[in-house]
Amino acid sequence: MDHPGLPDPGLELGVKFLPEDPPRRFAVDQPAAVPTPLFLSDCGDLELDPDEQVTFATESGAEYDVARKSWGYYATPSLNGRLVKFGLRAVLVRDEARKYVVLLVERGHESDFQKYLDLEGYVIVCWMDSTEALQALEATLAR
Amino acid sequence: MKFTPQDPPRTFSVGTPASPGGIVRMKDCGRVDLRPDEQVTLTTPSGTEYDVARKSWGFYATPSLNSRLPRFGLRAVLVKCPEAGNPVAKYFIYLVERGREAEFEQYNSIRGYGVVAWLDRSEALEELDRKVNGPRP
Repeated sequence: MDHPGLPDPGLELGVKFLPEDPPRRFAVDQPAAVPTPLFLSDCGDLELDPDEQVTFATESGAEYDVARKSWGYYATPSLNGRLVKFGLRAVLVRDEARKYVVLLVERGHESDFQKYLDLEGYVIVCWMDSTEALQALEATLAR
Repeated sequence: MKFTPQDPPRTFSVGTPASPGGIVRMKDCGRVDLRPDEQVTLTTPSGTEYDVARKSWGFYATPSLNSRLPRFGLRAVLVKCPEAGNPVAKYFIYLVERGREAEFEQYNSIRGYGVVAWLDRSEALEELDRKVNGPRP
């Protein structure tokens, strides 16, 4: 990792970053049918105070903010505004065990994403990436 | 992974004096560059945690909404946020700490935000799935 933690306790930095150094590599729970195990590297913990935010970014320029509030988090920027502007599309999916997750797909990586869904046995419940889609979802849920 | 802190944090204002919630001062604490298959965990002193993981195609913005997330004290909810002067409301995914629902409701109520759907229980998520996609095998 390129940042070993807080370099100087005297700094004003609010966020606390506790790195796992080296990152802890672990196998992800997957359906039995998946031939190759997938691994993730746990890089550490970030602790935000209320009204602090960090930005998650990719080398291709996609990014999104997570902001802490006293009651919890903004887990995404506006789904039909800032998130789209920064190249990410939100989608709700579920796996074979009926667990649901919110994923953010980089625009232009949809075919790579579809391969991942097929591999993992995920199905798309609904895209939440445009005003039309979100208004339609809202109307459907209100019925 | 590369964490680039903003030190000191960049402070910026959200809202205006006329906004229902007034001006909120936010602190931008930095940037997290994750490589594919890396994750970090966001924690709070109260014990909640949630993971953000990068994949080649994007991000896991949440762990499982009806399993890991509630197990670590967080409830996902889709919220609609109308803005004065903008005919199009914005939508967000919030994660609400269990036990802080009243504070969350007050936050929403002051700003005129509304809950579209809680996404925190299997029953609620399966009902959403059924309503959107019809019965599935």
